[in-house]
Amino acid sequence: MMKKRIYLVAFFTILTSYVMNAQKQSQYSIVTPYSDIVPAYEANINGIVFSIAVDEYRKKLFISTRDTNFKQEGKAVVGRTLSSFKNKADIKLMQGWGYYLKIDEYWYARFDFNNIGDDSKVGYVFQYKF
Amino acid sequence: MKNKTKLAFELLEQEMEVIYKEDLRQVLGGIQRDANGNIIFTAVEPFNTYDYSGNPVSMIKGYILADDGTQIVAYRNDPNSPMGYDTDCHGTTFADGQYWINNDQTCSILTGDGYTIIGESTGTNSSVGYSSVGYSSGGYSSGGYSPDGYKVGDVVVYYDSNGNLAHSLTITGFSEDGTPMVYGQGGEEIFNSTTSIENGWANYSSYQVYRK
Repeated sequence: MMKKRIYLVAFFTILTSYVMNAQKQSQYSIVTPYSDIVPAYEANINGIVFSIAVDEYRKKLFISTRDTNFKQEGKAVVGRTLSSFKNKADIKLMQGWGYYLKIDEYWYARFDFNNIGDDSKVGYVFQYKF
Repeated sequence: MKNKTKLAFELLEQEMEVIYKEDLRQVLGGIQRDANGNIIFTAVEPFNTYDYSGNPVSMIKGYILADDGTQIVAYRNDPNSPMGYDTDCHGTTFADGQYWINNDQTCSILTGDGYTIIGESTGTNSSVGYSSVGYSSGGYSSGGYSPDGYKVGDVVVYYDSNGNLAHSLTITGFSEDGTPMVYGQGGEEIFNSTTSIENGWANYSSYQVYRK
């Protein structure tokens, strides 16, 4: 009888934990380049954690990562300074969201929208079809 | 006699209060408000996002109401979260700078609050920033209207190259030559600023001017 009660307590503890974690997942959100707050989901692909979100209003995917395992030519991109990019002069501003720089065919590096300069660092990298 | 006078005063006070609330509502614009003029916000659930640096931002997701009763999804920032999430451009334009409102919800506000288009432009502005320019609120005056027929309080809605709603600001005055000057902010910006209607946003393809 005692054993059964312990099993029941353990079961409900695990269930509660699962439900709470599930709620945390569904409440996770990010801000898209057009400053829309949208739900996002995490996915680990080849050891890199990505956030995947859908900009429903514009019917576009927004994929981002701040994982330092994301590398370009063997170097981590997150944390790099603007001056380290050869095409730094091509940087653009999405007002109210941030400066961004195309770093290859698919990916952009996102910088803050305040005080952009050579020392500004990449906060995360993302894909979005502007 | 004393009672009659007292009653008359009470009725007068009640009437003045009604007039005061109606005036208050007209000044504050659309979106349903309580008796004190505060926007009615119904909280639904806690909602978390992250700022540029990856720091958590705690918000409350809920809704406010357009004049026709349409629920407008809005986010209220936690006082301890970064200030950049207190409001966005649409929250500043339509909701006293107290809520964050997504682009798709702004379409519902324009409809639900009964805004009508009174003008538009198709000029592009891909290279212009958002810095303030010379501005005089008392500069141009022609019965309170600009040469284009715009007036203080009109709302300017900016669209991207695909025609999607992307930004909004409010006309608050006119420059010396009659150019409408617009006020507000964008996204995570903390401070509002004033600029010309043509320089209202760095990334627009066209804009429309609405009046309620």
